[in-house]
Amino acid sequence: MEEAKEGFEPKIIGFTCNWCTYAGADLAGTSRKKYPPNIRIIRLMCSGRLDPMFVLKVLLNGADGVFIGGCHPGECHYIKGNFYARRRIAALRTILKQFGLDDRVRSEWISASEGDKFARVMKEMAEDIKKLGPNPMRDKIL
Amino acid sequence: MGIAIIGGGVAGITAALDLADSGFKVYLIEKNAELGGKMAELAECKTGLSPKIVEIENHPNIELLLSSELESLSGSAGEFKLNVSGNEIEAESVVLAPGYDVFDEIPKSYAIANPDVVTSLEFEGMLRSATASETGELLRPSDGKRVKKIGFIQCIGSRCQENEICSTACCAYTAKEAWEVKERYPDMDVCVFYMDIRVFGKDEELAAELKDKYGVKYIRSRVPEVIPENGALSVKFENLEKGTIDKLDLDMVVLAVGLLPSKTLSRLAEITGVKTDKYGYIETSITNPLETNVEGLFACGTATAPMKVRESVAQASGAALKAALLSERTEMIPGQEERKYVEAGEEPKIGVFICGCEGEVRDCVDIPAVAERVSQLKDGVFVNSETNTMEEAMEAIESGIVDQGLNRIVFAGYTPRKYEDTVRDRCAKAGLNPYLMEMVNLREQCAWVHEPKEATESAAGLIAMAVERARYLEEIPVERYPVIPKALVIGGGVSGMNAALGIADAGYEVYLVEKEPELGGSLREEIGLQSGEKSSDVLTEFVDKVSSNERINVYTNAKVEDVTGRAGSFKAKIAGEGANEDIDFGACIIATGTDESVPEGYYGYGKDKNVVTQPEFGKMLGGTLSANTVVMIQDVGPDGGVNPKYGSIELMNNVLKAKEKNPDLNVFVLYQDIKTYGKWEVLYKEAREKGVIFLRYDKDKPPKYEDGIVSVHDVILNDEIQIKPDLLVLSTPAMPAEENERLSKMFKIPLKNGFFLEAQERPKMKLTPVDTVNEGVFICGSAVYPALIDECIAMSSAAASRACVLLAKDFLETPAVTSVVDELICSGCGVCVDMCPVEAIELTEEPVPVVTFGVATVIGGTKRIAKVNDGCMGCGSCASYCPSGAMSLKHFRDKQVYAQLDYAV
Amino acid sequence: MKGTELKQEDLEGLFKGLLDKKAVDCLVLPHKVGNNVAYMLVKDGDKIESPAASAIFAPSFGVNAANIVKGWTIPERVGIVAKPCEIRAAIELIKLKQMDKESVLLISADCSGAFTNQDYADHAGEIGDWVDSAKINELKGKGIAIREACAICENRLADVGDIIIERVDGGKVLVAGITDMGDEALSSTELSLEDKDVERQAEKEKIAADAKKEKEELPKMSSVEELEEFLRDCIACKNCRDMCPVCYCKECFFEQPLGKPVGGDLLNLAELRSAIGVPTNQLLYHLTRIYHVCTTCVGCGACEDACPKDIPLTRLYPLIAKKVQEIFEYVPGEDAEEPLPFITYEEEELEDKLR
Ligand SMILES: Cc1cc2nc3c(=O)[nH]c(=O)nc-3n(C[C@H](O)[C@H](O)[C@H](O)COP(=O)(O)OP(=O)(O)OC[C@H]3O[C@@H](n4cnc5c(N)ncnc54)[C@H](O)[C@@H]3O)c2cc1C
Ligand code: SF4
Ligand code: SF4
Ligand code: SF4
Ligand code: SF4
Ligand code: FES
Repeated sequence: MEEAKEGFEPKIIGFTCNWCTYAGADLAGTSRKKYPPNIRIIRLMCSGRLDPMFVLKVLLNGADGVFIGGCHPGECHYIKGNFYARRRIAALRTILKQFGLDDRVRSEWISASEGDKFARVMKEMAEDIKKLGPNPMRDKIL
Repeated sequence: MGIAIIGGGVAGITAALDLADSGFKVYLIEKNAELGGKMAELAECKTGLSPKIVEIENHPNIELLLSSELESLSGSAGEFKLNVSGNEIEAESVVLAPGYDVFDEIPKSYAIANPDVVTSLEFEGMLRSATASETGELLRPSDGKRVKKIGFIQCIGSRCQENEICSTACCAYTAKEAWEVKERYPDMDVCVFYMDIRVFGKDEELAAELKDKYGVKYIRSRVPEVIPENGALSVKFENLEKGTIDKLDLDMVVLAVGLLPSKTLSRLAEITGVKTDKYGYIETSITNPLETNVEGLFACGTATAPMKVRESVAQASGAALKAALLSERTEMIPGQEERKYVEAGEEPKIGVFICGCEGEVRDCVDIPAVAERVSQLKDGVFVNSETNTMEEAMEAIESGIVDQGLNRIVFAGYTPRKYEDTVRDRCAKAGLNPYLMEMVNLREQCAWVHEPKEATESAAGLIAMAVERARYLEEIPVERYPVIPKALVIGGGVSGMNAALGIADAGYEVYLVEKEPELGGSLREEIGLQSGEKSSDVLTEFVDKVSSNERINVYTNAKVEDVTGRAGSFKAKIAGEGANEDIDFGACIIATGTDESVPEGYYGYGKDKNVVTQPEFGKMLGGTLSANTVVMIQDVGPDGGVNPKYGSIELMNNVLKAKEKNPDLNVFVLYQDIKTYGKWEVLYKEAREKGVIFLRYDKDKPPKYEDGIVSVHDVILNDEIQIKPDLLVLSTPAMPAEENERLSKMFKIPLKNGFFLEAQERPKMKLTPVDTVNEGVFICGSAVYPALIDECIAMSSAAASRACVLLAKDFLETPAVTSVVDELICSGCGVCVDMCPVEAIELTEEPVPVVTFGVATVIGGTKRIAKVNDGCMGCGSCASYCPSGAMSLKHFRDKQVYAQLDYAV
Repeated sequence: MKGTELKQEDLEGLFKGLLDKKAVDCLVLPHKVGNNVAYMLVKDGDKIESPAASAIFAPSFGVNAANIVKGWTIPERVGIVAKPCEIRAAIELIKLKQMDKESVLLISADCSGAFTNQDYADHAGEIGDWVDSAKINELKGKGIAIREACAICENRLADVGDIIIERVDGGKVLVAGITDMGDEALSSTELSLEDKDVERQAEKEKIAADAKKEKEELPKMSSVEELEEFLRDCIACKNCRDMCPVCYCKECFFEQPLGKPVGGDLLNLAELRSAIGVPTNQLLYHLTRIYHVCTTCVGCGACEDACPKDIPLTRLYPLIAKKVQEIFEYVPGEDAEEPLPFITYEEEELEDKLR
């Protein structure tokens, strides 16, 4: 079991808003801030477009982690998108908690100027999920 | 001909883009080999600026002259001839934006030779490389040890003998640097040595947060010396709170150096004949802050006075407009060409274009391997991995569309955030609907952040996801609507009047709406301005110009109601006495100014006739002044306002005038921070020289006024002082205009503390000070933040300029990425309606006949269905709520995201 | 609150009065069908059977009455006499505009906790028209237990809607209007109303405490594998959704191609993942449905009753929904004016729930 965890490279899906977190990821790039390659970013215009079903779906598909990034509260390009997103994510994680999946989902507010925060969060997430091990739904017939 | 811009810093870049985007030929002249100026050296700013630089480099209307300098200028307005490093250029007008240089004659006493003492500009560089380093730690230059204690010393090279004025920007940038340090290294000890904190608005909040939340020690002090002592730096300082001389040991010291006029400025002045003031800045006046003494030559940014980016950018836009008025529009406006789209067809033919990005991607990602994997994908895709530059890639894409009939494009290379518009435009040019294109960010998300093997893996994965998404992309009709070449200006103060004049001079019709019976706003109060002019003179000049301008329709006693529409095509009603008119317009400028606050009940104001406000005192100075002793208290009065930028300056101005009238007058000023920023610092100096006594009080121990006696706890003497004034003068906060709340709702522009919030505050870039989140609506003057007249004028010219960029277009495109409802599925719950941040969804009600079985009465029910209107900005919040998926956001439909998700794992 | 005490047998008169005086145009009311209890929609007051009270208070749950009036968007007003959870569901549906507030008169009656419709019909004689906690325990000893949803229900006393019907000692009921609409309706029936104290704080607290204890005792899942096991028998018939009052979609996501792939879409999915379970998206359906009802679920247990495979869905839906409702400090069905949690927000909140 422990061994399996050793060589385990988690698959993390990231949903980021276009205006802040995606830009933050770009800044991490421009400043050549290295971070683990586990993340695959999907760009949404706003964290408000994050339908919790996306997260449920991709977790059932076997993703080991899901990252959600948006502008800091009060700084959403569309004014309120992330306020609603925050409520949905909180509800979603409360549900996932019942099945021990909440720790696989993490959301952070990362602005366009927080390239290093983006890289840091990516690093932390990769480590945290490695500790959790693979998503039990991986390779299940669903 | 065209317009020449000298200086490729943020001001020059802004002016160039405003002009080029509205169809003027621009020559941008920069003496360095790269654009960006000082801003490119700032850690955080670089990324904000780089998209603009890319835009400039690709702009058909801009001719870029790098490593070039102006050698001579001849001719006059409308027909200048410039010699730029040997090239002859003809221009109708010239904008001077040569920027600043930082103070570099740092006295030896600050131990500048010690590697651990750095200037703030050097520190920005250190922060940037710390971020990029493996550990991310901030290391001491001398020995590579982690920095644990750091100190910032403000006002180096400002407010001193060498440079008597205040550099305006240092307080704010120091706060920003301290914040960055604390965010990254929460355990680091940070202290700031300062005399006054001269920040306003957001920066004021930041400074307060630094003290309260981040535990940064702000020490009010004067620092004569930094002494390197056994491996540490000992900062010797005069503590202005306690009146003691103290020492503090630190690992590192950052000197917040001041701004000086650019070193090239004196030569520029010589060549052009432009006059400079005694500090070496280009001379302008408070009513013409962008004009130089030479007709046709305009100035902006830190060449006219020390200022921050936000103000520089505003001035630049304003100067662009002024320059445009003298010039002929000769070029095409980008994006206005007619486009014809081919039918994309049902069967996707996907082309994947992988670009080497000038080696940036090719050197890290194994592109052939990626291409090989991509070509294995289901249903076969066409792969091109040969290109190495943006231009090559674009040509390949165009030929793929035209020659091979590709109808879905995946472009893997650069970040979509900067290049998406360009790629979309090229697809459109080749006849493919631009929304059939998807980008993959190989440079920022793979090559620059991962090792080659991982980057290659990641690249292949991301492309596979994009290909699946591309299969489900849909054509989104690109619709155009004509731009109405008229503008609405709300508020008839200086800002509103100046904006209206700018737009009218550019040739567009303007509706100017003022709620009071007369134009003028705050200027109708008789104020003796800091320049010596009277407000009434300034006012008369503006009102005359406005009323004689036939393109400006003035409505007084009137208000704007029922605004609908979007940038380029708004509708509204002007309602008021004698007016009830429906208007349409393409752009709007909000310039509602401030309301005066009445400190009713503070220090007996309203009851005791010897207690007056600062403006009332100003008016008294018009007559005779009988008082012998005057006490002034700053920061008094009702909550809900903000500390106006003119507060301390108005006070100094009045103090000096009073002293002139009565040199024996005793004046005591009780203050917390004296904010005579920029050149106004000299007023403060003069006041002190004239014997005015400044006593600082603590926020928690405000002065008292009882039985005609003011008592205050002076922090420096640490003792109670009592003064018996003949007159007590209160400086009060500025209140947001009452109308702002209503206008904010109507125009969907958020307020902050009651003032309009610029779009820049959102993704934290300070590059669009007069733009708002609602495209086509601009803000300026004291409606944004209570400011001095010159700033209001520069800003309102900027707003006019931005409006003109919009009005110059014939057509605009309707936003394509918007939400749509599937009417058959919508159950009319209306949740999306409540969720939409811009009220773009309505619930329509239709009566439905009831299917009845033999019952005589037919009962009508109601069917509710959501409808999305023109206002939709495309955030997708509604779509994410709607449980059945009746609402979807085009381009981000469930199936499009699901396709990515299915291939993500 | 304005109200009046009536003898239980006078309730028929009250309902008839509401109809006769046009306070409502029709009435959804439980009535006895043999041993069982079912709802009827009454237009003519003379059809109201007596004793009405015995059907109203009978501890039997068949269908959630709110589900019956879902889609009531006509001007004619319907009155609904039902258990608190049903009235709460109706209030959530008003917020979701699935019925017009002005067109429904909501009358909640005290509930003792109910048996499933079948259990009730099978043991009607033993159970009777009302059970108290002693009786519930006694029956439990005999293997006749109230529904799990009822055992963990914290809100079974009538306190929502426009009118409440409380049981009071001496075979009486207290009828009171708790909204203007309720007051008006009651006044129209010519009852003489006086100020009444309708709060039963101590009793409510006790019920809530007992319910919480019961809830603690329910088996819990802790992993997604356990969820898989829990849903092993699910045949994706979606009865649970159809009987749920607060699942309100005209066409459920899981009837659309993405939610319920058929033919080529199904094959594609199988190709992508080598093999897929069919019927598809079973887990996704339930997880999504929990999310879709997490703020509005009133814990009525209709889903569980509806399941042909006897999956104890109370442990899935109400139990988890309650946890979500707690983070928003939201109790569904309290007040039609209170906004749904997903359309409001505080500028600073929930940061500890995000990571
Ligand atoms: C007490 C005081 C002292 C000052 N001293 C100095 C000084 O010494 N030096 C200096 O440089 N500056 C000074 N200023 C600042 C200077 O006067 C202002 O910054 C400048 O006048 C602001 O111009 P504005 O056009 O932005 O706003 P305003 O002059 O306030 O003009 C706004 C106009 O909009 C109108 N309006 C508001 N809402 C609506 C609406 N909904 N529809 C239509 N019209 C509307 C208002 O009635 C007003 O006419 C002082 C300001 C004050 C208040
Ligand atoms: S689109 Fe969806 S959320 Fe909006 S009213 Fe219709 S069903 Fe409700
Ligand atoms: S989910 Fe079940 S318990 Fe909840 S409201 Fe729906 S049917 Fe009732
Ligand atoms: S499960 Fe979701 S989509 Fe389906 S009916 Fe219920 S709320 Fe609507
Ligand atoms: S009613 Fe039962 S079997 Fe049917 S979908 Fe719901 S849980 Fe599955
Ligand atoms: S745009 Fe970033 S969260 Fe809304």
